[in-house]
Amino acid sequence: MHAKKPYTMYRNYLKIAFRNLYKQYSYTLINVIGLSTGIAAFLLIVLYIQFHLSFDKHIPEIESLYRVTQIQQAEGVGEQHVAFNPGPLADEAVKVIPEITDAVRMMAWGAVPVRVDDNYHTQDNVIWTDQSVFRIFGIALLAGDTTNALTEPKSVVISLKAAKKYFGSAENALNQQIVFNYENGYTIRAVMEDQPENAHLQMDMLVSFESALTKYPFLKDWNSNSLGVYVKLSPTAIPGEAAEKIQNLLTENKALSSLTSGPEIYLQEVSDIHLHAGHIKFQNNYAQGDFNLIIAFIIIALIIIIIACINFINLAIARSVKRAKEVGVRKTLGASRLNLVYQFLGESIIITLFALIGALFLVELSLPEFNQLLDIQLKIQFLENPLFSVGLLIIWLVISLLSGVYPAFFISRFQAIEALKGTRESGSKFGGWLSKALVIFQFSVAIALIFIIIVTSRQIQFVIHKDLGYNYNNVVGVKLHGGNVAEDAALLKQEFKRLSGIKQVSAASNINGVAGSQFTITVDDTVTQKLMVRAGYVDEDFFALMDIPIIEGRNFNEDYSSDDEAIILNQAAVEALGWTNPIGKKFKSFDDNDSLQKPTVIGVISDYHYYSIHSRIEPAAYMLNPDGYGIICIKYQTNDAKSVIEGLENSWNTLFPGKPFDWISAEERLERQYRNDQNSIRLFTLFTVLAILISALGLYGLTALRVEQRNREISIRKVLGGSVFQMMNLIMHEFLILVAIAGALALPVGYMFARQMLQQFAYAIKISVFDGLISLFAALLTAIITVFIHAYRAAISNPVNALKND
Amino acid sequence: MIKAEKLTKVFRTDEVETTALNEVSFSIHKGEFVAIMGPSGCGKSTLLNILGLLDNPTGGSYYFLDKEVSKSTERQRANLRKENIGFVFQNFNLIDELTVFENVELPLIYLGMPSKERRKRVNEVLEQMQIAHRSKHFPLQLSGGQQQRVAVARAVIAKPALILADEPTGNLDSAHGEEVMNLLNDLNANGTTIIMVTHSQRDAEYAQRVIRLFDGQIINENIKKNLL
Repeated sequence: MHAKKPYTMYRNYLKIAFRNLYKQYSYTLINVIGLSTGIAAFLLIVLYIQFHLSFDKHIPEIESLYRVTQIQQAEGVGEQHVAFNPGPLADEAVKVIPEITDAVRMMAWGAVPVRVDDNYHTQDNVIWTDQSVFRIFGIALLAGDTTNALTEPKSVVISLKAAKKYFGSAENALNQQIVFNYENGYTIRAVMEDQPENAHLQMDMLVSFESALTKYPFLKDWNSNSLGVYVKLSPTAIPGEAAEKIQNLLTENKALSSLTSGPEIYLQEVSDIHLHAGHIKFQNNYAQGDFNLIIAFIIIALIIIIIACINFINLAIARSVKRAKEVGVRKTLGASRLNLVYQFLGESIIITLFALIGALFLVELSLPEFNQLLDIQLKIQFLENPLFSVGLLIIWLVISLLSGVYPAFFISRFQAIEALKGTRESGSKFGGWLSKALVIFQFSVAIALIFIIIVTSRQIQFVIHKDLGYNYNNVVGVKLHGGNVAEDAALLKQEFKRLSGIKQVSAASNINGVAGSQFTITVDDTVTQKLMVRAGYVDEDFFALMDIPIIEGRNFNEDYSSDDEAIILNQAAVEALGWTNPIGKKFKSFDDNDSLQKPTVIGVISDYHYYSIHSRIEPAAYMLNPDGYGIICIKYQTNDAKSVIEGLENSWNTLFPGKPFDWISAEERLERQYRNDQNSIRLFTLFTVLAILISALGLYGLTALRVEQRNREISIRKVLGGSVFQMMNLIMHEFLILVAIAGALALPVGYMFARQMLQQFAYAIKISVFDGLISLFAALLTAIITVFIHAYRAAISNPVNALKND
Repeated sequence: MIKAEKLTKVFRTDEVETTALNEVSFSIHKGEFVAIMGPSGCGKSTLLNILGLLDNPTGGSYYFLDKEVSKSTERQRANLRKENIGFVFQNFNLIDELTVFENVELPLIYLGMPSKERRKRVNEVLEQMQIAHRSKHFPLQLSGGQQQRVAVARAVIAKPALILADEPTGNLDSAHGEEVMNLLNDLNANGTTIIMVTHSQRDAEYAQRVIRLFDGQIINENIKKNLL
């Protein structure tokens, strides 16, 4: 006996594998297409998940970096998590808490007007912060003063992106003077590297915190609560202990005394912020992710791959009859079972390799659309993303094994004699329980997914079209920028009202009427009551413009000087206070500062959803406060929105030449709130459709094989008088029963997941019987269309052909 | 070389028990050419499968090359088979996806023979069988006779001690059938033991001994030629 040479054997396997695949090219194609599509969907999801899991991983020593977070008990609101803190905390914490080796405070602003030379720009991602930000976040400075870039007041550090935008290069930007938020004398001390896209904080312009302290002295107060605070702990520090010490520090300094109790402090790992901070109400977070969504995507990815592998397994088993003779011959000639297992596994490896190449091609093709849908920039990188490349190899091996092992062991089990004589029993036929079970599993998954998608889509549509309690149609907002907003607002209102097509004009803190902040108000009564409210600064025209009814009392009247101390509550605030007669009630103070107003309730408005319908309406309090206005709201009555905007812009440019004209549409703003939901729905729908298509592809192949197996039987039946319809029914009935069983199993599961999904909405639809029926119908229709072609061909074929070959 | 003692084979299903072989005993010496004949269903193929180590008997003993093999495992049978037994089937049983050369080469691959040596041996045998000119063709491109010559080539490539032929001319016309029988005869003349199952009296004439089976039992043994 010669020493075995595996290389020769494998070469033989490869040769016969390629020839077999070519010989049965239609099944090879079905397998490759099904697997390619499945792997492509899997890879897209992997890239997406990898992106979201990679957030902030570029920060050095991230394992010891934490964000200080508060749990507040907000009167009338309940427990809320807030990632803002008092101004003095960061510095004091480093001084007195040994576990904290470094800290940085940050106040993030949205769009800020910046003037470079004579040109006005709107700069996003602006943060007031300290020099320590570079150490803590590991931000490299590309040019300029690296050690003291932010220590002096009115110092600015800009990103490379901003430097190129304003000055053409980093070098040109150094020591340039800019006008920041209408204030002269800000100097660019350094240029920093751009933040990667996967960072929870985007920083394009950093301004020295000293300047903020000068402009906003309340930030020095322990009762302020506007700053993101990040702390670095020593390697041996226990976060819980450090958090307790921070809490003690706040207590010692009587911080946030307006709260009834607490707050309770905990430290959130910065690496967790992107996916695990959805519960935090107030925070600086560039692109909040959702861990539940990641889990859902992982499940979908696995489902799609499993469905594709099931196709492979089913087709391989169904085709095994054709391979029986070859197995018999090889065994007769001395092949062991292991030889045969390797041979068939080899075929699986080759098909999977083709599928992998096809999948990479599909991913490249679909990435632009995918990226656009999700507003990210994913790409395939082999060298730069070694994890992805290694992952590809692992996917190749795992899928080859997953798909190939069972068929390999199944086929290699054939007894030589039976195989040679062609007397293989069932097991190789589709009637085998495993094949049926796999088809049922595939279609169960598909039906459950359809069900969930239908319910979710209905919910999103409900959310988008629900009456929000105010009328935002044909409403646009023009933003006010710094300077004397009260004066600017008055001028603009007067000017805009004169334009044609304009129905109403109003000034407010924001287009939804509320500012981003919360205040605590204390009732001036014998019984002390505190309430945490959203503050809204609106003029006398706002509620009418937005069609928000005043259900008790009256609206603001700017002619009444006493209305400077008037307050209008929403119904949620009145309910939280438990009042039956709110009109005339007085509040003791705002934020316990007696030097401020003592507002009196003059009216109550009907509740409206000033934020997204995901959350319940919270108590809100509105006041006249022209210094707090941030936007002019305009309701127009023409269909030509473009002309309206042009008219507004012209008026703006006349009044404020050189200042940037920033406008938003109320409708678009709302749509943006639900864009994430809509994108998620689109994505899930896409993957559900893929899962169904892959299942249908498998069913198509199986039907073809099954028809081949039953060809003789059908011919005999036809000779004996069976009609075309009866023959078609014979074949289709076998598969449709499986889909019906799949439906019975899938609908309860789908219902369970759909119900769980609906729980995250404050206002949700009810799941209906029709949702289930439509899902089942969609799956049955898919199956019928898939099976029909083969069934029809078999039913009309000439019976003589099959019987003559017998 | 082969000794069968009270070989029995019973096939059982849930409801039916069929005795295909009923205590069959015989011996076959090295170099013999034996034909096994009988009507359909008499147990010829069952006997051939047991002799070819493709199946185990239900009872009795089977000695192959002086070793008792009736209770061997599949692996042991496969090893014995590939080193000592060549098969020729009625329907050729060539692998359609392999060329003539590759079909004949297959047993040598399973024996682990190096590629150079393999190539030499295959070419020799193909020449011997006068089919070398079709070595790159696939079985479906050959006539029945040519396919059976390839099958014979494959059966002898490993120089087995025993060749088992199951109705080797069953799917061939008389001319090609005669060709194949002459091949087998030549092999036997060179010392290869041949056991052939056949319906054909004409084919049986090539054998030195004919064993007749009926209902799973030997009813007759006829020595046709003098071995000495």
